[in-house]
Amino acid sequence: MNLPQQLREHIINRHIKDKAPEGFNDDYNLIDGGILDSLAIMNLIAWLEKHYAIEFDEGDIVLENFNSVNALVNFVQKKRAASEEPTD
Amino acid sequence: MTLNLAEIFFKQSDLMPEHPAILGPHEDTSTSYGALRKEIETLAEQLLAAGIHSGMNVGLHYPGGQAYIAFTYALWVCGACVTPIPMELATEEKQLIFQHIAIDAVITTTDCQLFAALALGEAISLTEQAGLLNLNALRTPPAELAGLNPAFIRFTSGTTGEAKGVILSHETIFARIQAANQGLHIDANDRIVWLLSMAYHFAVSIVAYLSFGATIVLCKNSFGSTILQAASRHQATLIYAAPTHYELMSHDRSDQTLSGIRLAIVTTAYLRPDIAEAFYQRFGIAPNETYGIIEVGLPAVNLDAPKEKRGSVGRLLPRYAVKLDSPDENGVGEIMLFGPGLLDAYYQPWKSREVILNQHGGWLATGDLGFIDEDGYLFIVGRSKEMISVAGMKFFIHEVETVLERHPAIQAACVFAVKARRLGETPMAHVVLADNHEPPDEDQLKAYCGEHLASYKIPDRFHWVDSLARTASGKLIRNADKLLTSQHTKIL
Repeated sequence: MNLPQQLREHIINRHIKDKAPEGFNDDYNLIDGGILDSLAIMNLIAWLEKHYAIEFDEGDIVLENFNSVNALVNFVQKKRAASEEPTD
Repeated sequence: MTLNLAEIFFKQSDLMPEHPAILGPHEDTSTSYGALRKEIETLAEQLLAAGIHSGMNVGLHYPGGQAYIAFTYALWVCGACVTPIPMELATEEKQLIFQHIAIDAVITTTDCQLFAALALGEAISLTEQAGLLNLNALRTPPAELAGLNPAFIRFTSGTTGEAKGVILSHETIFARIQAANQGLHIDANDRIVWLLSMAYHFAVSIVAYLSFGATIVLCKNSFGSTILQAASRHQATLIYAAPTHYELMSHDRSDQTLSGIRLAIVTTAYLRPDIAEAFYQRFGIAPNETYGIIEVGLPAVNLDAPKEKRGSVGRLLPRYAVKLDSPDENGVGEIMLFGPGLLDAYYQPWKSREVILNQHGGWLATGDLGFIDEDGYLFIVGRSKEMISVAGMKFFIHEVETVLERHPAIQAACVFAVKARRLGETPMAHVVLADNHEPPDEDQLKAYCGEHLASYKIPDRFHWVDSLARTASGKLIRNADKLLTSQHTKIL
């Protein structure tokens, strides 16, 4: 399973307890759509940190990184790339 | 004459019809006391026409927000009692509430599995998103209930598998909010940023604000910048939130301030010292930790020394008394409380307030462990009940074990709390494989749990063991430090 599939599946299995909303896709707004509340965001952060061995820094917990599956994919890719960059 | 909390709100709306009752969640959304009253009265007319009447108990399955407030008050206008059905529960958990509590009707979002599961006939449309379903209650209510003038029944799962709905009457809630306001001093000058689940928090919060003429500020979402913008835009004076929200606000790196805030109330869970310090460094405000308990209300708030006595829920508010039962050598004992507005009864098995208090010499045994320092400040250090709190969402361990032990490949399960950096605690499970079965993998077990449990109750990790660890007397060991190797005890 690739990254978008993994994240989509996790959101559906863990954060949509009821029927998936009409029009749910990788651009669906997870915040305005009521899928991620504050508890769900903290749960998701804990899962992302563990599952992808990334760490959220201050400033990472912002709407732009959580408002869709695609936004999460971009964020995880960015964090992974940053962790692979050589440091001085 | 019986009291009705809707009448208390109506008196406020008579006094100040133009005063804002609710601001937000959108920038330009404002609802006055007069307008909210009209919304409530219109809904009440619809509900009465649909057959809702005094003595009925109505489930409320709806997202928090202005409509939730209006539905609750409209049901009270009809003389009905409200049983919140939290949206985030699994459908099976929601159905359990209907099995244990006699519910005559439910107001619910119409696009949900619960609606499909309950819909025996046509729903009566109340709003664009909400419908009313009249039900044939699955059980009869306890005979004593009608005499209590019940406003809320909060379903809680008991320690030994039996349900224990907590019944709060209109009189009890009114007594609680008056007692709490001896410390909070909420009045019409206050604007309170609201961030919690209304299914779990309503009595000594929403009802208090609307009874004392304050304004509720709703936020679009829970990100730090959104909360701060709402607080600033609406000139908030109070924040009522969980530790998670204070952490999210502390992360904000904009130049937003919280200059008008006089109280930053923390509820639902223990506030980690590093979050308290980060919030203080960022805003110059020390959060006020509290002790809120459904059976009691809000008996303690750290009002006068939130920085000096960080970690304490403060001294007891004036009308409450506390004692510690069987303190150990460190002075830690079970917190016993007495004061106004104690629960009216447990629903099942029925236990009146008198019976509950008589079990402990006139005190309410909280199940929480704590100590009182030399200055009279109460510190909570743990629970004597077998519960886990994931970012403030509390549940009984046995709920999860019962689900796990229904899995054909699991012979026995032990669930325990593991400390977690983001969430405070997370559940972990030791599981024993049933004979002649292959162990399912962790993803399969999580998916199975997700079908039966709310997400926050799903164990974060599973560990297969030959047998469950027990004490010499045969009691299950649930201490994570004893159960996990040093490799596992690191914070997740």
